[in-house]
Amino acid sequence: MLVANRGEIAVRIVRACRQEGIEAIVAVSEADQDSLAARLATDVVHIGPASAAHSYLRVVQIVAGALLTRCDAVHPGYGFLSERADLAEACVDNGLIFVGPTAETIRRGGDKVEARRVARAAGVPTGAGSDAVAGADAAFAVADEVGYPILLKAAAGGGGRGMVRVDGPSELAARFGTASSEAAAAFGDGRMYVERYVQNARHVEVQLLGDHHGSLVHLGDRDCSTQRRFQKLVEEAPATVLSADLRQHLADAAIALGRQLNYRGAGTVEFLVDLDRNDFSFLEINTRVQVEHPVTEMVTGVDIVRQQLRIAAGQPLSFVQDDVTISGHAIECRINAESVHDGFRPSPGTITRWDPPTGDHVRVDSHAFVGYEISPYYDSLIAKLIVTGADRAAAIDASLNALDEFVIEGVETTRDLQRAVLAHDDFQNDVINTRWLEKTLLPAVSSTSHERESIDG
Amino acid sequence: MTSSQDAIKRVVEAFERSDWSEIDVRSGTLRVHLSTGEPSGATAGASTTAPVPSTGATVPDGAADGRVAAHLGVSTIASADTPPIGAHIVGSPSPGIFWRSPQPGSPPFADVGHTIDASATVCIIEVMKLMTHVKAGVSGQVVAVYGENGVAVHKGQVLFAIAPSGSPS
Repeated sequence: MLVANRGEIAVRIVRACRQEGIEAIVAVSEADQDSLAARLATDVVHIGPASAAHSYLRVVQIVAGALLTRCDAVHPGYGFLSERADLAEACVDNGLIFVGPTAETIRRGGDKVEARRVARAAGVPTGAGSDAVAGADAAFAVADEVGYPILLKAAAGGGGRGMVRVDGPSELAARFGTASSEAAAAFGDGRMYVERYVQNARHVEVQLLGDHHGSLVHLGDRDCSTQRRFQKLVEEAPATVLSADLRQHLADAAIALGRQLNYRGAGTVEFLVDLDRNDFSFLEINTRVQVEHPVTEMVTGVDIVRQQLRIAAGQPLSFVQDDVTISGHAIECRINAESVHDGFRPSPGTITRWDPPTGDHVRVDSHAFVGYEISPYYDSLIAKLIVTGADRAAAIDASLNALDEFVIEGVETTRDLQRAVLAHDDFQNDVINTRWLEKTLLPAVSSTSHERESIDG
Repeated sequence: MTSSQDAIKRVVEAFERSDWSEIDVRSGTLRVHLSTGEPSGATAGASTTAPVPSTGATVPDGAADGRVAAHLGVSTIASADTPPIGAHIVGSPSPGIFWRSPQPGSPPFADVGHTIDASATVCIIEVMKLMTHVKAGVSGQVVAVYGENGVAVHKGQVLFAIAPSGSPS
């Protein structure tokens, strides 16, 4: 297996390979030659300089690296090339197994306008909004119909990238052109579409697994509503805010969508649950393993990455839907090397102390160690702390203890912010929404929040 | 044929039937560098499989010098490039990657000879996906640019020298 990724997910995949008796080779940039994944792997292949654009994002280097090291398969992880249909295609063209769905599925799922069309064909509600709009005039018409505020989204965006909230017509006039040209620059595709902005929303997603033999199951749901600028900070499974009815509707919708795409491998269907209307709408489908997959693993006992490997090898799923049961509650905190009190400015540097928590209900997925240098070239995630409990309250308690135990020195981290989230009454009473962190918590914990410009928007 | 020869053959065959312009991968003592000769002046049509003297570790790859980004903190300014006296110096606000243009392929924000406004962006410093626009700070003419596009720079590293308007140049 060629592991075409870095950081904690590369470590996660190498471990899953070892458990499945598969030799893992890790593709490394110059900055990652001594990474934890590289140390754990059978071997490494050097695919270029530190800059991801010249290494992890180059399909040709990944494919050549796999061929040179005589790999049979390529696991793309998340981010980087994981949702690029051309990697899936190049793998197949060169006799390599791509761990993921087909290029066709990735293409249809990744184009947000096409994905909305697929969802409607599967009978899944897509929420008020439009297909791609031809220009600002068409956007005005849709916005008038669904009502402000709206979200203006890039057809090729996703995962919080390429979207902008617009509160009224004059703002739409001012922002449409820039948003479209930024999308063209960032994704090579300037098409935009419009969605109604849900004020009181929860972000809930359903995990899918499909094999080559027509079997498609879901592994329940996750709630990822604790977000800053559409980036998730705390995730949980199951989504306790759902009624039994709504939970079943979401699961059915995810399966219907998966069937429509002939889905195979691991994937996630994301929904927005409107708490005021008690309904839901389709957001997007992610055709890869998700950062927050461990919370689902902890409450179902299913190892999603090992399942990915078995599915890729052509094995049928060893269980059916009725075998999947949810027990207990799991919470994940994404520990990022960022300075919360300085506008979440990234904090690269060398880790001088690293004492992760331990214990029965504690799991830490990380690539960090004492002496590890957090590079400015990649994202700021340094660890995922996953803690389980018999129920949500127990999982919150245990998470708070684990966060207290977690000592990281040398770089600033989001640990204390996550502690503040979990200790807050609103979070404990499960009455938050996707805007809560920014509207309620951050003003309370941080008096200084510098606005910084970002190309991502 | 040994297994490594076979692996190299597979890479070469993949390259030949693709529209790729360059491959450069290395594992253990094997390195394959193939190029159609279009970019970066690499040897036209050549396929080289040269053993690399040492394995693992940090082997600076001479053949790819222009493209290999310097590691954080090791970029230095050549003494010949000492900023002119009286010039306003723009330094990097943080460690990160130095981007001279808003997107690949587009013209740089600021180049030698450009007259720019104090509020103009002269470059972007990318640190862990966060893009910070660095402003000129003074109005004037760009007299020097230090550092290469896309490479790592350290905090405070000198990036631009600007002769303020009205000052003797």
